[in-house]
Amino acid sequence: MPWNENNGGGGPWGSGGNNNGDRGNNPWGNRGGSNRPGGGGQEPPDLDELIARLNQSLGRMFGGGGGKRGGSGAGGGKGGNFLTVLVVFLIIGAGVLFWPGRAIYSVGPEQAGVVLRFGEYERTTAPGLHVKLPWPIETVELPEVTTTNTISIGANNLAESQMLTRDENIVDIAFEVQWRVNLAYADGVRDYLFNVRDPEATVRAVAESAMREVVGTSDLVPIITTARSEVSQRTRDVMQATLDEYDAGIQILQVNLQRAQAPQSVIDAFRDVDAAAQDAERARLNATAHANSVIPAARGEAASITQQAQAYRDSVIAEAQGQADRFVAIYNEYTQAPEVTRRRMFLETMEQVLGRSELIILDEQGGAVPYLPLDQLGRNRAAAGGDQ
Amino acid sequence: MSRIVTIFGFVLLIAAVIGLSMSVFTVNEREQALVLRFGEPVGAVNENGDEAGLHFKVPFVDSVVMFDRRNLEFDMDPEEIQAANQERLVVDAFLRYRIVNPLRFYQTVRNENGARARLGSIMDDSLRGVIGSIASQDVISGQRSALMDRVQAAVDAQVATQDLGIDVIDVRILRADLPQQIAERVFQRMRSEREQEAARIRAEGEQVAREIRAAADRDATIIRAEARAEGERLRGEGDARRNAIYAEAYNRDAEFFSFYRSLDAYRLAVREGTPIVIPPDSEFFRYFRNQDGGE
Repeated sequence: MPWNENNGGGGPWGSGGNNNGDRGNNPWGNRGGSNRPGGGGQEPPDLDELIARLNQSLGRMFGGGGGKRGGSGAGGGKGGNFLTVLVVFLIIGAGVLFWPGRAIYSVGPEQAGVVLRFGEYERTTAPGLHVKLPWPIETVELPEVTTTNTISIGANNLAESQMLTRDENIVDIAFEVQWRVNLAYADGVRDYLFNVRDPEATVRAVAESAMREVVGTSDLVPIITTARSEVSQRTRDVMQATLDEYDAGIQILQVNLQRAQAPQSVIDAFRDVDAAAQDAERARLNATAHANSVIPAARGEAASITQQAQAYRDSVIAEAQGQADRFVAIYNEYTQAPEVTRRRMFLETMEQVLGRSELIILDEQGGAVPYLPLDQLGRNRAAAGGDQ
Repeated sequence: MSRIVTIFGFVLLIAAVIGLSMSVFTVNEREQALVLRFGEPVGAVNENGDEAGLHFKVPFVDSVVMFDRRNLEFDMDPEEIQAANQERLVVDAFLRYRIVNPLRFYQTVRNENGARARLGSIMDDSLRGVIGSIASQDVISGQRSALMDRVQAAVDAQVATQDLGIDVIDVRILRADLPQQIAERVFQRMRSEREQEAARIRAEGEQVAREIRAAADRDATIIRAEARAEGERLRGEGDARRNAIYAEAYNRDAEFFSFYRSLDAYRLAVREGTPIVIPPDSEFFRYFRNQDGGE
């Protein structure tokens, strides 16, 4: 089946071997067997059968004709068979060549149908069933254009994930890039198919390079704390600019930082910084608690000091007022009859005072120094007290 | 006879088909072709990307060599390169190029394998030249894109000198890292930096805590002192008031006050059993000797 063989490489057309198409330059070789009823692997048995049947019927026809005309029956039969085979081959060759199945193709909803005529870009068709000129005139390529592709970098590769920062620290980064064919401009699909070899590897290399460029211009601590989204955004921008420069027809949808942390061997020291922040906070809280207990205590004490002082003031005033009132009362009495009152007060007081003391009446005119047994006096009195 | 003619006709037809197939070739959008006549280049097809499609050649005489015309990657192996400050860096770079002149390309490097070998030495040379002239921290940090431009310029110059039929689209430094033993040093430094940071944060926390405590203690002392001051003031007020009250009352008759107060004082000062020596001619005993009270 020469055509089947040719389908694979396009040999006679001079392009064999150099077709570096990684996207299935020649879809017939790849796809024929799977979803095209007339194509590829199913053909040989069908054709054999067909040939056998045609051979039979044609042989009957020609052979019968020859027989009727009467000529050299056997020889004519043999030549007729050879011819028949040739004719059949040509008819079948033409049939395979222009087999309707080769002219009809369907484009899946996620695909675009890019039709090439002898390898030259002809048109792009939307999803659905379409007709083209049969192979080998036109071929179709069906790249998946709406699918979002994901590349993950550094997830479990130390060499990929460790990057140097501007302040010459090393940060451990794993990220994910989501990309798809750039449909933002008309020729995006064309660029994607024809401009760059191995788009996925290209995206990967550009992603790693861009991330390292961005990380190399940032300091470690922001990268692992506050500037994560900025790092992703800048990486996305650098990637997009680079790929646009390549006319790669690729759109970077998103760069997600999955991990941005200190490397494993120093992560304890970094965690200790967090712990230190907590320690500091705890010390502050303890101090605040202390403040909250000391100041109310002082206020309470202050209140008690003030209250005591107030009590003193009020009691002193009250006492003075009482004594003053008493004096005034007595004085008022006294002014009624000063002489008598004065004498009475004197005598009453003296009576009281002298009545309870050890009274010694001594006449100074005696001249001699009297002997006063002062130490005895107290004792007598105590004994007298005890006898009572 | 007619059968022989028919057979001949078929043979002719087949020969024609084969001949036709040998005299045409297709060039895909991705490709460009070089037509060689007995090995001698006679023409290039689709160098500029506008000639894809069906093309003719002379069968048996012309042969066709295909080249990619897409943006191709050359990824070099990581290399240790010494920067201007004698520090070594592991540099991994890649280069994007396109074959723009298939004839020159074919003549100089023959195919992509040849190109890779040539580009490898050019890249190596350019990287060493450029990185060797700048300090390692500039390689790592902010200058990277300027650095890549310089490497690309160096590569461009060499590619142009050698006339490889190649257009260098981009040179990108993938990694510019420290070798493993130096990375270990970086880790050490990072660790000690973090330890210092942790110590600083703890010390600052301690400082803040002490400040809060001290402020609280100060406030407490002030509150107490103010309370004591207020207390003294209140006591003073009380004492002043008392004096005023006494003065107001006793000033009515100062002489009587001293009499009255002295009596009070005697009563309080002389306790029970206090011995008192008293002459019989005292005021108290005025009538003790004489009922007239006279001397």
